[in-house]
Amino acid sequence: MSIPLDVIGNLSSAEESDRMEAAHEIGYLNLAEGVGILLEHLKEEKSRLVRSAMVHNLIRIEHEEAIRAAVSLLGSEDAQIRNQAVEVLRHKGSQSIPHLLESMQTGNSSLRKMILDAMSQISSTGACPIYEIALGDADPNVVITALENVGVSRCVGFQQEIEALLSRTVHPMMAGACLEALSAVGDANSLRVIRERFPVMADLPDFILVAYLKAIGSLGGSDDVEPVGELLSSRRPSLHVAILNSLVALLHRLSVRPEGSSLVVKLEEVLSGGGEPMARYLAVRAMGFLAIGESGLRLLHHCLADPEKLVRLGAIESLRELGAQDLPHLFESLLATESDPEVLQAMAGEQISHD
Amino acid sequence: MTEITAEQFQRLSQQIYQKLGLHFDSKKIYFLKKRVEKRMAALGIDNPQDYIFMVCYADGTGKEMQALANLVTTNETYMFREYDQLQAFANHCLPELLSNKQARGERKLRIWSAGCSSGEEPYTLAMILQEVFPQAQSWDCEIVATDIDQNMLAHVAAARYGARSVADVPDEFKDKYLIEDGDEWVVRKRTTSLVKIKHLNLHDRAAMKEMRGFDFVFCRNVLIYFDDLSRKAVVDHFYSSLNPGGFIFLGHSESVSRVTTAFKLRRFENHLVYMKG
Repeated sequence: MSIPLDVIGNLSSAEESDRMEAAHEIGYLNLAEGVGILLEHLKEEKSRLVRSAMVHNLIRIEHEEAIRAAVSLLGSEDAQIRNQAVEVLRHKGSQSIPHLLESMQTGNSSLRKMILDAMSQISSTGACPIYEIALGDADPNVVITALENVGVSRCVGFQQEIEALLSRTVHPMMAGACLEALSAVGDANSLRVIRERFPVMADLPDFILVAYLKAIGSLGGSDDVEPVGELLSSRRPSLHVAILNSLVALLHRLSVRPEGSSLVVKLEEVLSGGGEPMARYLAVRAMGFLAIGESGLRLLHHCLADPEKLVRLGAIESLRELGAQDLPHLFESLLATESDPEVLQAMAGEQISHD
Repeated sequence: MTEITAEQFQRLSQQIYQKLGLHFDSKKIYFLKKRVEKRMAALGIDNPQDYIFMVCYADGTGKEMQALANLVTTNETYMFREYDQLQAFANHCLPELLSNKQARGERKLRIWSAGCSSGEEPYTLAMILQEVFPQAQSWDCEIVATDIDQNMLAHVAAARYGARSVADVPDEFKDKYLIEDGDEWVVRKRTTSLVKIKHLNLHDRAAMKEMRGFDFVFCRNVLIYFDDLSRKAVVDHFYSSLNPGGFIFLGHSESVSRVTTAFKLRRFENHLVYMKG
């Protein structure tokens, strides 16, 4: 079977919709020859919409030519085409890897970064050689992109290499990327390396602190609760979400609830500070993992009437977490004043159902 | 079960946005968290990191994303759903388009309700049209309601709805456009006459090519169930089906720009709408 001539002819039609439809048709026909035809017409096509359909339909063509075509388009001068080529390669998944590896070895740094963009959604043991090359790249941006990928796709095999990189790098963004990657692939040894590299958390500039907190949240222990909590007072409110995220992640992993009276004071300041809803929600959630005593419980009760829905929801979750007594009675008294269906559902403790 | 952190929520939101085109902001953390916890429980996964990894890298058929989609969207349809969008349609897009047509001496208006289900949407649009544009009866106006499900189309034809479907209909609209019949409501004939019912599969390319000359396309909370390729093909068809200056409306949390950059984004007060330039 070959692509009908009238379909090919429509790629040159004066009507944009005809050309677009022809691109889709060629995709659906799923023939290797379609790749060359699409690429040929892509060069002359003026409409962004039609160019988009042409590149996009490479996904439908299940032949290696489509992958090679997408790799070649990574070097296009048109940013839209480059981004779409990345999307095509992501769709092709692990089949793309041999071609991407070849280009990784020969391409310039822009191409190498595009390759890593494509790799960011491909998880495969075959990806390791690409990351090996990338982590040793002369261009720090390539290394940083590789670190992001390795963390997100949890390539634990690179843990030691990343620890070594963190220990020696003076590039702040690279250090941040190492921290983030280690929060996903690291272990107790990684934490030791991190503390050696950054012995005083309180002195860290904001952009490193955020990544550091992620690592502490994933890898830290009970000793980190108080220093992280201290940051709520000493750092800008814009960092509260990052700090509280780390705190909640830490607290959730502890087997014993730490005593929380001093931390509750700081959490209360976040709650009453009128900051972003997410920060206030996290502050309330953190209380659910502490031994907060009667004053803390009263604060959570007070949160049940907060105008911000997320705070009310967080309070319900935390009170459940604490096994607070007389919850059904408490919630019942609030039913008359609560109107939000999500909060009502949370109070009722109903299972999420789908009609 | 390990708590889902705000950062994991962001990662998952990004993935849902990429795969389904649905947008969840930070205010939806509780909403999404509960649904993810349900999926994790069903799969026997304890760590949200493992679930996110699975959804991002080990869900080749999209089955898990579909299961999550079923939980994060509601299939329930009712009249005047997503009121903000309808306000943008009624107060801005429709008047502008009608004004332009009048200036050109055109007296034809076509609206497409794609994936109309049991008909609440096309009849809502018909009511709004009659309210905003009383001259609709003297123009060549048509709302084409399409769906793949013949049973649903039978419901559209019956134009009879229960209390839940009409709960959000403003009282003055109920008086003008619906007739109460026991515990049901029937759409009045002069409103149903604006709606043409048609069986159509959005995947049927030949049939989709026939759909041309529309001024508005509504396809809300339908495309989330399509894969990336199909979604793009369908939205490309919608683009071709629209007249220049026409508008497309997907669900309020769905993103047109994620699927295609063909449409122009316009702002009317607090509303963002997509237009064929």
